[in-house]
Amino acid sequence: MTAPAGAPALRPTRTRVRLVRLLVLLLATTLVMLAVSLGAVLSVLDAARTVRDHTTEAVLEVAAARAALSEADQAAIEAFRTHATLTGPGQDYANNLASASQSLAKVAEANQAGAAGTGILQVVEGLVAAYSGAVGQADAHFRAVGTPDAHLPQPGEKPRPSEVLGAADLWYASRLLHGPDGVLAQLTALQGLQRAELDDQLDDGMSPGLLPVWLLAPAAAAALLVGTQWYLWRRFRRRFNLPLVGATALTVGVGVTLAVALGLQLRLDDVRARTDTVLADRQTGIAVADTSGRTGLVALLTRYCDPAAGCGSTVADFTAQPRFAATAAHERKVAEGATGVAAAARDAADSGGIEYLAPAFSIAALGLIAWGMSRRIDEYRYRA
Amino acid sequence: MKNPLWTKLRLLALVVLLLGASACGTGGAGRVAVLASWTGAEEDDFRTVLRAFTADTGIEVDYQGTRALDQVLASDVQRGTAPDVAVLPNPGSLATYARRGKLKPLDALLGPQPGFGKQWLELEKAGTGQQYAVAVKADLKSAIWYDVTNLRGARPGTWDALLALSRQLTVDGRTPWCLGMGATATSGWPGTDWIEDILLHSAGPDTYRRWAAGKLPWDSPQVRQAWQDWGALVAAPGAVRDGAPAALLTDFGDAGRGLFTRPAGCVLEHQASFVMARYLGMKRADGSTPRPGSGFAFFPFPGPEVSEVSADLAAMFHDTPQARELMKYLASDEAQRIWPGIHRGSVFSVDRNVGGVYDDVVSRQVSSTLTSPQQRLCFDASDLMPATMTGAFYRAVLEFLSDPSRLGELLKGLDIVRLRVPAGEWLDIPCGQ
Repeated sequence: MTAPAGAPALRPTRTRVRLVRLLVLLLATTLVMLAVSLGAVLSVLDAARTVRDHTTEAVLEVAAARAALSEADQAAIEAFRTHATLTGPGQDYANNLASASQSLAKVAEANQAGAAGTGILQVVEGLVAAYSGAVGQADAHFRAVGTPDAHLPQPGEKPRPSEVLGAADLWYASRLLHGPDGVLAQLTALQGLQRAELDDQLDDGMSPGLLPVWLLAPAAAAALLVGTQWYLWRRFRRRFNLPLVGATALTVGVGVTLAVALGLQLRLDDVRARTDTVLADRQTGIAVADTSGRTGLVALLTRYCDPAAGCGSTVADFTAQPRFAATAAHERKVAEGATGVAAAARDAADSGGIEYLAPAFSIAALGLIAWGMSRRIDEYRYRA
Repeated sequence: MKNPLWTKLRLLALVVLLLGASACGTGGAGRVAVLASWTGAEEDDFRTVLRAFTADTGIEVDYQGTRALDQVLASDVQRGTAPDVAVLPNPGSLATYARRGKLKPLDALLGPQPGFGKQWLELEKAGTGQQYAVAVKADLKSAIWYDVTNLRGARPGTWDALLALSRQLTVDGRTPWCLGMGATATSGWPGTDWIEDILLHSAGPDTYRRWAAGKLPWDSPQVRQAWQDWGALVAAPGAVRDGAPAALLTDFGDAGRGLFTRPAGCVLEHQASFVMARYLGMKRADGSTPRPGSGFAFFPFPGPEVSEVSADLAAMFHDTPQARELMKYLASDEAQRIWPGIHRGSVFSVDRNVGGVYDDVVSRQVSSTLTSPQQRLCFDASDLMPATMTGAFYRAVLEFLSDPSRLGELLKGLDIVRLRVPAGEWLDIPCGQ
């Protein structure tokens, strides 16, 4: 509407100016609340989904590969120590090696450790190929002479060269696996990287200490809305501005949404604890297989070395290493633990749609604020 | 008419531009990507070199160290994401990438290098006719090590004298040789160094070169004799510490421990110069650490003055200003001095101008052998052979050590592998220039 010609220029009333400023402040605060709450909820959900889809799998599959390779080595040594002629390294060896290979493929897909993780996987790939090659060589040599038990060198009898080479090949294979830079050491380092990444992802979400910070914006918006309500009551003697009451309720709803997101974060912490339990159980199983494999290997090697001179300083060091005092791990326990981790990660990533609630509440609050305030502003248009 | 808002906006734009330029400026002289096989302590040492380069030039280095260098590099090159500079662990890889046109020649970039002898400049060409590499560090392989308190008398200068010494030690009730073939995925390589050294010193560099290039059969009289000579030395009863099975089961890094036990477990060890670092980490029975010169020393492999060597070779895959600066720096006396200077022995440069960095007589002797203009040098043949041939060579060494009577069968097997390898995979690299 334009002022009539010759009429004095219209100026907004002071009340109108104040109301417009209040409206702008309310809208700005609510927009900040929208951004903050959306960021917080999405950050938690993003962490939860990455943990569910990638990180827990990467961590657990590295541990599974370590366990499978330790058990493969134990099985191969046991097979050669007893009945290698017909079976070679044996079906258990083949099954465990295949299982390790599948786990490593899953780790490659779910890898969260970036280029460092990829680099370690490339090294491991090469070493596992060399390991299975060395076991294959041992198989060829042991097959050439028959069952070691059937041809145990008698006192004073020189072991057959092929047997010595077979034992040496098994030793090289075991060193490839257990040596200082061997496959298991590389996988332990990789497991550490993936586990550290899990920590980073969980800490990047919303920690309980951050909740007050995240709640600042909804709290400020709610306080501003209550203040506006009080101002309107004082200025216009209106009891309640219902749209603003609705906006206040929605703002409280945004705060509740943030608290629910925090609950998801706490569920993620449960994923971390469960993962560590599975890793500890795996480690026990690895230690048992390692101890058994070492004992079998030393028994096998000493058959072919000079009884007086021994097998050389490297084997002597190997024999002298402390053994793990471990009890047998229950595979079922490990499997149940891994299932529990997957279920907990699924639960934590199951948002129930809260990522839509925060923006929906905030946008609705924006609308209600604009509606509630515009009714008062319209009452105070312009004055001459 | 001047619009104040427009003026303010222009000022704001200017500030933004200046801030942007300043932010871009923090990249300074740029970055260079480097790939090498060094991890752990060796990576720390190489990073010391790279930090000095950054301090000198302002160029930042993105270093990646991986033990799977061959696989990682091959994969990067195939994807077109090769690093700017890679340090290759053997001249075989260098020549292969050079022949495929993946490397940039360095002749014009580096110009005359007075510190590098002509034999090294020739080796750095890896038979390609152009210089494609800078040796970051090198090792002398033709060396026989001993505890100076355990070996009296003249050092053998001929093969027969070495054989006589070995036999005399056995007669005296001592074990002449420390021997360890274990090396995880490459078990057997210490034995290949033996065969190479014997062949190089008995048949000469030309025969050695033809053999390394796949042109001389394994079953030829010269090569067969080299195997038989080694067998005569180490397969004799009592010649090797704890016998052949123990040699197969002992890691190459552990074999030399017997030098410093009391009584000595063994008297001599054939090993490359990097073994000095291992000796320096060992203890005698009285708890003391053997020192170079007063504790351990070496004599050159008996025979004509020619030595087998190995080297880590830096090569340039992308011709960027930053990569060029790095290659020039790695070839400089300043850079060549840093790594040997950290250890003062056990890591060696091929630059004769850095000789002053070695403060013991043994290190100076190694350095002198590597850098003397009179010294003839040949690369480790197993580093030059195609991977299939090298793997078979390692394997044959293990089989021979466990049963020397199978030599004929093993040599025939090696010749079958040699003939199956495509001719294009062999490298004919000058030797003993």
